[in-house]
Amino acid sequence: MAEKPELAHSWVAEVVNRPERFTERVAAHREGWVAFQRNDWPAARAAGGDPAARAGAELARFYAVLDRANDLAWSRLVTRWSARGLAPGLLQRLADASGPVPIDSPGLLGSDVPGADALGSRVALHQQVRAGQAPAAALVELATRPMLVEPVAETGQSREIEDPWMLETLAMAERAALAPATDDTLFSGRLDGSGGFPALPAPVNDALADGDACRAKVRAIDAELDAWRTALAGGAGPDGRALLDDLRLVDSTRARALVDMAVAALEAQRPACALALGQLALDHESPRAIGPVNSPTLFAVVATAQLYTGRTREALDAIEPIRATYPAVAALDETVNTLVVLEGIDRRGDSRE
Amino acid sequence: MLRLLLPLALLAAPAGAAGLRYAEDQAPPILNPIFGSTMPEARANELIFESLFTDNLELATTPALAESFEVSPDRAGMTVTLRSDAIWHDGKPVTADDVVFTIQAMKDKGTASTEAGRVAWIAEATATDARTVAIRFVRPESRPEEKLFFKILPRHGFSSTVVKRTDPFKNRPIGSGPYMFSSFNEDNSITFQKNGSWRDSVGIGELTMREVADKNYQAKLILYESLEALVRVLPRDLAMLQNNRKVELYPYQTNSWWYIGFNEARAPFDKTAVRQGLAQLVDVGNLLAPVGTGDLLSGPFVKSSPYYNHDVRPPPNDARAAGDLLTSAGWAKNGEYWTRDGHAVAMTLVAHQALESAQEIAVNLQSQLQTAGIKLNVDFLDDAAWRQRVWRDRDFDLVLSQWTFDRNEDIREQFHSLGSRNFVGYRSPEVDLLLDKARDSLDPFARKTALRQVHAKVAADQPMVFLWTLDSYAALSVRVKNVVVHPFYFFTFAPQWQLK
Repeated sequence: MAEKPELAHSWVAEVVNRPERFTERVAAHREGWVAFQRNDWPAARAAGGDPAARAGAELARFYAVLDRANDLAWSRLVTRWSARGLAPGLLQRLADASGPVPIDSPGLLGSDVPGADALGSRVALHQQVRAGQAPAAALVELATRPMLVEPVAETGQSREIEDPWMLETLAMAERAALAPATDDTLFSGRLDGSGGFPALPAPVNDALADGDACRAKVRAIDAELDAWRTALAGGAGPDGRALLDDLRLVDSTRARALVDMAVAALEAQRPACALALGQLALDHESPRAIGPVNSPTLFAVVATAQLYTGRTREALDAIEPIRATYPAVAALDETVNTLVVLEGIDRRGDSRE
Repeated sequence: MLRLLLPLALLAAPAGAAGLRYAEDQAPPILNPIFGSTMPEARANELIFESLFTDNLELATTPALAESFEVSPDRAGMTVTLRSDAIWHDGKPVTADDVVFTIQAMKDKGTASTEAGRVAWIAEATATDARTVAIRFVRPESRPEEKLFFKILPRHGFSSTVVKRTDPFKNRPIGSGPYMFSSFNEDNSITFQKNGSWRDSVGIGELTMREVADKNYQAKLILYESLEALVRVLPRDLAMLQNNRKVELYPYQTNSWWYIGFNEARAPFDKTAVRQGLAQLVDVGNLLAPVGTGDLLSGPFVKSSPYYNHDVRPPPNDARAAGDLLTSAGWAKNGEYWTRDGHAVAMTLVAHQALESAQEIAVNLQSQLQTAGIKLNVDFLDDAAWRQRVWRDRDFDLVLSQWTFDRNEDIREQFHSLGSRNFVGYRSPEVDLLLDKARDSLDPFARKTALRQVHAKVAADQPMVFLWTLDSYAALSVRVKNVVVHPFYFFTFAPQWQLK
């Protein structure tokens, strides 16, 4: 297949064909760009400049995708909980209080429940972060501890209830802090000179067929990228070829493009498509680690799509690699943990050698 | 030579225009779900047999052989009505008697079913008419349909409820599922034909399981289009397959972990200090390196499990601390070698010969223990010897193997003192209590807490060196469409697959 003309004008082509220009582009914030290329967004943001702005935008999207997963997990947890006929407790009351603006509901649970004070101060902190009056880091510091602990007389144990607004507030805070980046193409998923992304294929009503349609789309993209990779390597000098290989430019750009498409698929309520795109974007050489190919948003997309398609337990596999770097994910992780246990609580497990 | 000839013969096999060929490391020796203990058996049984209930595409419980059910108001029993269109592959109708027979056979001590635990909650099952089964529970059940996932057998295939592994059924199984057993072939392959009488359409006409014992060849075979599916890709082959445009990878979740188990029924492995000391002599990361990338584990759950206790760390590889532990257990270092009661310490590790990468791991472990002053002999066992020595006679010092769990990650059979898969002989009253509590609890928070405590206690008792979990990927030809892989049974949704 011939190289598409648009690809010849992309940022990747410029890096490979004009490495001196690339050196100029990254000179001001070299460490930040190195971190951004590795999808290490906290480090990129700390470095300032364009990498920081770009990392901020990525973080806003990352938290927004995870917030979608969080909403779904909470809704399923409460529905199951009610259907199971379990003692309602705080979980149910918290869910009942949830609405379009739950965080603004005064006296969310009432003062008669254990932990009302803790909840009140947590809600207040959320409101401060959302209003820009407190740093998001203050919330993140609390993320690895449950928001409420409810003693349960029947079991002699307690229920640890996670903060349901953590990811929503962080997404809002990141969005509010967005700063424009001068260089918005370097290390992006834009595959042509005009800054375009590959479009999703037309939706198909049946989920299985939609997944297949999106897989076919990736195969078409890959055919173009294979030809392009060959052309790039053939036309590049030694420095350009080294950059092409060392920075895994084609692989990482492909992954970023697929993640962009997968986010769009989630927004279009096409989880089977999003899941196919996410799975095809994953770097199978190091599938459990964030790196130049595997971005945090890739794991977030896969986790969310897994939840939408009923693969609750598998969503945990996608959440695990991001939990260590992003403590705010702990609340979602524990909520999905509880949902997984609840979904299987009546089952008899099976195991094999 | 045989190893070389076999893959060449497979390469020469004609491409399956109407059929899908998939590889297993080892062919299931028998096809009878009542004795299923391996993943290849579970996958083949999924094609042939059905249960009363199964998973739908969203992994929610949905009727299979059952048409409807009703739980009594006191939740002490239920009635299940069977589908009227369910028939066995030999044309006979599936009846309530078949369901009752299956339950009785699984419970019959003379059967010694590896699946007996899956019906332990049933006190009695009776057929009230040809299509209705009344089931009485041991104690009230909230959602009993969630437990009716075991495969149903045809009563007319057996002479009594004492079912034997050697019964002729093993070679000519009769099921009611979407595929019929067709033949065991000379090359150890098994052919399954589409069941044209099945209630729904079945997309692919023929499935063939090919035994490819050398896993290194499996990826090559799919690249040469001599296979259409690999159920599990070696980690080191992932990049090669990802870059091939004729193949697509499907990650799926199997909750598998590897371990080196100690035979606690045998001295000196009955001493916790010995097990802990030996565990600290093992450099697990070094053992994993040639196998691929994976997560090192500290206990009997994979890291993403709701039950994994992240506060527990894997034992360090610390020869000095190991030495202190072994010394406290009465061992002595004599020159370069450890001795016990005046004799040089030597032990035997057994592994199934079909276990992938077992040779690399065993040789590496041998070298590590040799360096530490312990002689390790290794026996690779064929399937019959494995069943005899490990499952039946428990004749081993150390065992290298892996466990794979469905998404419920129920480790009761492996670690409860009465567990049917507890061949390492682990016994802890505290863990028994916690496992009982976890099983009986209806509160997910309580179950999570109990099993995280089990993780901590088991890790401390060290009945095994917990090794790692690897990612599971299936590889399928791009010709196979509509693919959804079940995270445990793999072929649950195979009837919908299409081959273009």
